[in-house]
Amino acid sequence: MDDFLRDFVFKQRKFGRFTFSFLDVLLAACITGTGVMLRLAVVEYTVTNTHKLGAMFIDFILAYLCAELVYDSTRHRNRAFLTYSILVIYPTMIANSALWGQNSVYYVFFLFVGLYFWERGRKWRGLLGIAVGVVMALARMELSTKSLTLGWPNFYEIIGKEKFADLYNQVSVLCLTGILLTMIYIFVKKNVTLTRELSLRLFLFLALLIPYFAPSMPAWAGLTADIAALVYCMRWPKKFYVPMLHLIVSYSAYANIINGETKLPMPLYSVILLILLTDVGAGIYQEVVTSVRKGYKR
Amino acid sequence: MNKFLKKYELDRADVLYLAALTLIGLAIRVILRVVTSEDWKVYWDPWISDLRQMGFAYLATDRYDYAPSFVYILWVISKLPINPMTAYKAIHIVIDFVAAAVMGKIVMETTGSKIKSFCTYGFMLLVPTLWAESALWAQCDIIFMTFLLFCFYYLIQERPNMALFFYGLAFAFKLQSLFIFPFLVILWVNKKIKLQHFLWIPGLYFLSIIPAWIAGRPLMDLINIYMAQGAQDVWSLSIKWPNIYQIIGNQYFLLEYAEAGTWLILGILMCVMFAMAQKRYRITSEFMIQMGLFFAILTPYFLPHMHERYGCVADILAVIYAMMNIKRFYIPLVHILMSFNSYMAYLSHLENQEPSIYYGVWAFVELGLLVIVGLDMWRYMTNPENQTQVVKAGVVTEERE
Repeated sequence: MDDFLRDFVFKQRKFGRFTFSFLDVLLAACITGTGVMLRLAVVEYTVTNTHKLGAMFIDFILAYLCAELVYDSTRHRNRAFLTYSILVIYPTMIANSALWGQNSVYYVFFLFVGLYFWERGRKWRGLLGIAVGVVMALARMELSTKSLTLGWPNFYEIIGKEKFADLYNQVSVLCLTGILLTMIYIFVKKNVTLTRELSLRLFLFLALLIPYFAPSMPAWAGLTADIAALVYCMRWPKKFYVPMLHLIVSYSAYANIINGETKLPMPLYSVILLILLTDVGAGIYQEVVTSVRKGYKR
Repeated sequence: MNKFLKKYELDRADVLYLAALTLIGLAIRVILRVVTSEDWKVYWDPWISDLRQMGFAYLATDRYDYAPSFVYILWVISKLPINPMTAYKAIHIVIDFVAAAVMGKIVMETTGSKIKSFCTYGFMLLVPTLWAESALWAQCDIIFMTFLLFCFYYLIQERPNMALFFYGLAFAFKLQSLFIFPFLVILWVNKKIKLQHFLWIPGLYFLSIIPAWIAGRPLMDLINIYMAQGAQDVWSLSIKWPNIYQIIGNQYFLLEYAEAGTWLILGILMCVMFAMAQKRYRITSEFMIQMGLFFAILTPYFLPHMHERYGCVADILAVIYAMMNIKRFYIPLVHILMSFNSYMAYLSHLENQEPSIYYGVWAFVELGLLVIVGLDMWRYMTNPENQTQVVKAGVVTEERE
């Protein structure tokens, strides 16, 4: 009987292109249930409407999509499972949709759909997904002329949020454009091939960089980077500290807006984000150098 | 078009990038030009008004405490039929672009990489301390910094006469050019500069004060103008610059530490120069920039009464240094952030309040950068591959190429 049960639990069964054991299905079902319960526990904090219900549903689809992304790049079933499991109970995702009702997951979903297609070699669909995500994100933004940040601990937490807000609103966008153009210029000149790995690194880097310098960033501006950091960590497990720290920063930003206070000063979180940005940027640099060297050898 | 591209060995991507970054740099400055800073209201505007009324005779008065060379620029502005603040900022904005171009040239000379050179030009136009100084604050440090950059450029080209000519020009505009003076002494020790080249410094300064002297201001007054400048703003040992006084306390022993701090930095510089003079090593372009950066960080770190802008020389040298040594990319990143934080503390009228990250914390960060650059220099000097001669008891005992 024992052997039968053990066999039943661990035996791999094939369903179409997927192979599952009972344990896998059990974890998937239980963690999905936990995700649902977690959301139900906090859902009454804000009004629940179809928009919010839709966002909560998309949370799960996004978790699945990210698991696919991880599986595609690592061919590691357990990591893919873990990605889905963690994202289903990811605090910022739950807080964003179920608790706070911000529903940012709609635009984040399209950004990841874009990444998914891009990584699969379907460049145009990838670009379209990212473009839709960007447009949706921009449509949600409200430009403040009083404060340079609306809750996200970025550059302006360090240098001051209020002075010259109306001018820095424009200057920061120009500086960001300059930085992005410089990156594009280097990539074009060095003939860098956008590999799957480099695409993921770049995706995370931009998800960190843009909210760090863009004006009027709300507390949930780091949601894309939160999720991308987890996928990044699953691809390179040594980078486990990236999602860990980013999640702490991100959730503290939520807490600062929702509760009106944080236990640690916000500028500290800005410094942590700067360190993460630098760390991910250094990874891109190394990848580019390797890619260029390979290009020379070819 | 193709001929032009071929002549300058450019491709379309280069031209597009340079054009786009030039436009972005210009747009940033055009947006910020509308700000009227305290310095403009309290100093430049009244000075220009006086120059308008009195003409050249204004130079005979003691109403200005900046180098006369700068006041001549204000005199020219007072003659222009346009808004003086627009004219003032426009001049400094143009110099921003010249400085960015010289930076690009220096990086081209030292690294041989066109991509790095163009990126330096583009990056310099985005550096917040640069656009904040000229377009927002209406400060004038970019003038002497540009001359210092020319000085580095000609030193790298092994044209010491031109280099010291530009250093002399920098000194004729701002006393802060002296921050990196010890590095010229080390170059002299290593036979890269001759003693007569140093004559440009007093020579150009003297030439620059002649018009003001002719106008009627006493010669001794003009010679001592930097001394008089140093005697102002003594209400704090550090005026928002994160240095040693932000760690030990900048509001106590104001008189005592002001004098002691000056002697202390002189002593430190003597020790550093003595240590550096004990060995003979190859003076490469990278080492020159390294030395410049080291002294640009070290001197304001111990000198009392340092203003929030006095990290500007280190800001730009750090960018060149990082372009030469990409592993040190974080030095400009951190230094510019620190500098800009100090700028914003002044521009936000924080007065005696601390910024969100305390000056004391930044002072430790600056110390860390100083140690990193210092160690890089030390490793270079002690690396046998870089040594050409060894000096023992003042005598050159061994020489090798």
